[in-house]
Amino acid sequence: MNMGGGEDYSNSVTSETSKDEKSEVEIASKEEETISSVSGLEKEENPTENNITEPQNVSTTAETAPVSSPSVEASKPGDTTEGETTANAAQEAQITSQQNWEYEQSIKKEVEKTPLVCLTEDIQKLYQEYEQGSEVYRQKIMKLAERHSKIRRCRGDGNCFYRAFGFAWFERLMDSKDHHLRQSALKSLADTLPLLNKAGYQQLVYQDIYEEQVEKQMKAVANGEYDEAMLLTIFQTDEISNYIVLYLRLITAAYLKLHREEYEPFLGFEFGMDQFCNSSVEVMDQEADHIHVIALTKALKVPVEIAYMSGSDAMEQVNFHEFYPDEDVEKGTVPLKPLVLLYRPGHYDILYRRE
Amino acid sequence: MAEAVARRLLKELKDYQKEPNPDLAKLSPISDDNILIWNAVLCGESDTPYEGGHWTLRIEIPKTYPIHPPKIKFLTRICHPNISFKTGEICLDILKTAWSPAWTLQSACMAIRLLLSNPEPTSPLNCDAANLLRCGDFMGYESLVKMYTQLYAMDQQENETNS
Repeated sequence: MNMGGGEDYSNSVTSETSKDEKSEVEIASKEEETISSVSGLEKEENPTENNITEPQNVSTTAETAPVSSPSVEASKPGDTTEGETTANAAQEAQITSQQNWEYEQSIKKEVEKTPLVCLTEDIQKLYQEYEQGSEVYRQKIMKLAERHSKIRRCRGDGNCFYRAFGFAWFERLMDSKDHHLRQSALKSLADTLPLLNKAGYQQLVYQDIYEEQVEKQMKAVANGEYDEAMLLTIFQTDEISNYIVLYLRLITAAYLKLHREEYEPFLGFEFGMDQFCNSSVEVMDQEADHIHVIALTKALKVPVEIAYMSGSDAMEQVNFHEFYPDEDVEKGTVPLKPLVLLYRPGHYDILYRRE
Repeated sequence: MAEAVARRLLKELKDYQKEPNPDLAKLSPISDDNILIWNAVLCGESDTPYEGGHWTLRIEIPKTYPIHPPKIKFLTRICHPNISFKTGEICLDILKTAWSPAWTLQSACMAIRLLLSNPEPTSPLNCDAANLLRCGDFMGYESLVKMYTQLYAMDQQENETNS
């Protein structure tokens, strides 16, 4: 018996025998996710660009896969050339996984050309992106430009919500120069330690990240040590930036776990809250949805407004969703002005309101 | 960064030493000079064909841990559909794309132990073991696993065949 027979698969990340229709579909759907996270725009805007149109082919194959699978199944029982079939399957799987890998790498490279957080740009730049594209988007951007002057892009790596939130929050505190606001932000941040503890996270998982990264940066902001360029450098540095993203993810997960009665009904039947947090909140590069936004804004008591722009919506105005934590603002204090984010399918950027 | 990971790993080591885990006979760096390479010894679960076995794992920790997952493989030979018999490579999503930074080395090892009794024959690294399961020959599967457990994982002193 050749026990090493499986080594042909050693390059495959998940599981890719061609017999396994489920995994093929999973891979394809994962790819679709990757695409949408790259940029919702490019898909509509540059239909000629090769690497953007490619995934559609892939997903087509995936959709047809279940149809072809019964014949593969049929040849399985009692097949004398089982070994050969397996070998062929392995080879096919190899090609698929190789192509898959190359494709993912090419996307990754493309995505990594964008800094984690960019310099601000005039909102007109956003309009120009759609000059050849969707009329609906152009209309919506015109509307948006009435009240917003600038946009700050974030890398579309699946962490964009957390990174945009983190940057916008730190920047808001930097600009406000309001001592009370800064202190209450530090306090909200400190309050996340008992939150994480109560949610069952081991101290060794979050303590260092809090002390050495997040709190340290927040204190520097609160002490007025940073200007815009320095804050940008911090958020463009992989390690620090990713630690901040990671910490925000943990807070989001902890809040959801502690309010599971409230939020579990939104998850669908296949998920419990712990599993959801473990697979869709804590894991880096996993995109954020409505529920993540609610949890993070509530956990940190930071108000956020999100402009939702989607091309399919015929309405000529942009919908703003307000995520205001329902805390009682202490008397005599100026509340933090809401952070403003722009959402386009699969991606978040930061917006700047006209003064 | 290197400091951050070292500090974190020392905490994990203390945590394990403070509360030894009966299912994990060992979890420590292989030498004092390099905290980024660890060994662990997994104990097979009772009432499974892995009962009584001890498997050594090699754990390589990237400098970006815990944002990125540790690389873990078996040094002791093991017969399991999702573990390569030759290289000891493990096919488990949480060690790759589904890694959560909230995991620790200990919890990752326990996830691997859980994988032993919950094989996923549709994504095999060991086709022969997987095929037995796929065609429903559980008796054959169990006796094969038992045989290899006895052959390689019962004598802790000499079980590092792939090092």
